[in-house]
Amino acid sequence: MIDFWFAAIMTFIITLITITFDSITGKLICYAKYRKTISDILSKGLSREDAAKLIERSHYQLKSNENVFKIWGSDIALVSISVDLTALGLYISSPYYFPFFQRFNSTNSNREILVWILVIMLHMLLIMITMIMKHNHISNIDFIDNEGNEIIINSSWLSKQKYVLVGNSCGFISLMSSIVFITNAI
Amino acid sequence: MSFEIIFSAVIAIATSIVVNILSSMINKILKKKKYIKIKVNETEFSFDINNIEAAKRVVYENMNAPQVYISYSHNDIDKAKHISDFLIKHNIRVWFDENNINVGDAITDRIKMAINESSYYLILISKNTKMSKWLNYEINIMLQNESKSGINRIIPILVDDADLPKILEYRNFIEFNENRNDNLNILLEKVT
Repeated sequence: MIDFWFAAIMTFIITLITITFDSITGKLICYAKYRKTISDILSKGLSREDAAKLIERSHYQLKSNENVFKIWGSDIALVSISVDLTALGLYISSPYYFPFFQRFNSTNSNREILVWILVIMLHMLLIMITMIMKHNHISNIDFIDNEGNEIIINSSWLSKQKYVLVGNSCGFISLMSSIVFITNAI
Repeated sequence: MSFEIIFSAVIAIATSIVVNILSSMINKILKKKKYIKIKVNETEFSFDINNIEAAKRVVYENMNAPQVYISYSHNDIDKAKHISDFLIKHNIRVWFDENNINVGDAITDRIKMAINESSYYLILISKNTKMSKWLNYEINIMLQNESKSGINRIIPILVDDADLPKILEYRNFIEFNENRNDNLNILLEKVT
């Protein structure tokens, strides 16, 4: 059994690693696309009107992608489901590695599989919530102007970031619960 | 156990807020230094990635003249040459198959390359125009490029009282008249 706090720190580290890689790769891809659009216009030539239209569109994509990276809950929730499935694979060959699930057994009945199913269903539900939040956030990106990127926490900030906060919290809870269950941290 | 459940929810929300604020702060710090460098034909351009007006200025001042691809039936070659001469006179690069396909060249490859290198596509439509396999081939590549870029690149030019082919029937077209250059000026406006 590991400490609950250790599980929380592990989740935090995995979250930071996932966000960092997602953000770096995403930014590199966006910048590469923006560069390609500009260099294509420069080399091929276009009318001023069409060139402006293309630049504005790719600049908008670049800016909106910066807001897309803020919602990482679904990525973390997917990590949690992969952790569950990996642990389930190990559990099949060696059930005694996962004492958390054995807690629910009584002398007359074996409830381990039922608990596994409940845990996986709970994580599926959390993935669904994070996905819904992600899509809501993406469809609302037009309203998240510069004010939404400010650091001051007020009611306007909270209303603009509500999908991000709910989605990310659900993703974090999903991963943390996976780690807590498989390491028997509570 | 209930303490841990409440605490994990609090940690989750706190992490979400902290990471959000951190990413905003990192974005703010990086925003001041985000310069992009682009090298085109040995010339290097640099501008602030957050300044859209700077990007437009660099593009307007340095972009090449657009290249126009002309698709026509060989019975309309005189009209095609008239349009081509008009555009060249106004510093527009024109891809004309007669000047650019040599003996032994793979025609499909040359056409595909020319369409991909061109910014606008003129399709001369007359009673001589038949939806041949060549025209279909050209229009398919043009439509693909158009949907990739999201801007209208195909410009149908009606050289007599023929009807537009089905695939182009909902597009605005330019009527060509050899004795008048007004409509060619509209074409020139579109491509510059």
